[in-house]
Amino acid sequence: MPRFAVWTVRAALLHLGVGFTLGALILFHKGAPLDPALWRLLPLHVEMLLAGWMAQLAMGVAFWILPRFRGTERGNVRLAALAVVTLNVGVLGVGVGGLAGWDAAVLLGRVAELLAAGMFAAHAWPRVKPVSTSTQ
Amino acid sequence: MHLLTVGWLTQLIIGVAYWMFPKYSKARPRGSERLGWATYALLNLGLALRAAGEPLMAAQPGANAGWLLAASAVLQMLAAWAFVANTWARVKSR
Ligand code: HEM
Repeated sequence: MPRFAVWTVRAALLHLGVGFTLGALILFHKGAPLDPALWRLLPLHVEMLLAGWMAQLAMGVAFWILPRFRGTERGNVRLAALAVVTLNVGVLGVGVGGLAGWDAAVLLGRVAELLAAGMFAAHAWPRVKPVSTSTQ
Repeated sequence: MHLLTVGWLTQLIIGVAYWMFPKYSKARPRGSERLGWATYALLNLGLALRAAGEPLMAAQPGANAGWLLAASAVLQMLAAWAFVANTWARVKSR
């Protein structure tokens, strides 16, 4: 697995652990009340698990496993890296913005998530092709 | 909703990752098998408790159904960290 995929997949694993923990706090509170403020964690929970865990894991694994060019090259790596960084900024923007009630951060976070999806798609598009054994 | 996202999507990912991610070592390709089974048991027990606890809680909010949800929360959280711990070192460059 290339280093970039290692870090992306590990970041996804962290989002899974923290996202489940936040969900567990909310669920615990739902059953055995701790503090009503825990409900404010909900947007961060949703964002970390849907975008930070699932989408980010898909990006990391896709970067690792999609067909390569000329044997080893994975195309525009910078674009993929920018997509992953932008996704994480977006998750934090939407999640923390939602927690704190900052609508502007939520909006910017959503825009960042959208950009991240577009950039990653642009990176992966040319790699989605039949595998060939020739040099192309 | 969570039966779908946790019970199907996340569990499928966990299963396929356990199967296909790079080997931990020649002797123990999948890391700790016990931790793998622990993840599976904790996640599914946790989900089952929630599936039972949520409707009970809606029908008659009270301490008993509440504790089902609280226990479910703890089990699922432990499942996630068990999976992360077992998978972390398998996510590596060769
Ligand atoms: C990949 C896994 C997960 C995803 C994608 C996910 C996603 C979501 C989404 C979209 C919501 C908002 C919609 C709704 O209220 O149902 C939500 C709410 C919630 N989630 Fe999760 N979740 C995941 C795992 C978990 C886990 C493991 C727990 C607990 C241990 C949890 C606890 C909760 C709770 C308590 C709510 C609020 C439900 C309510 O309104 O009563 N989630 N989650």
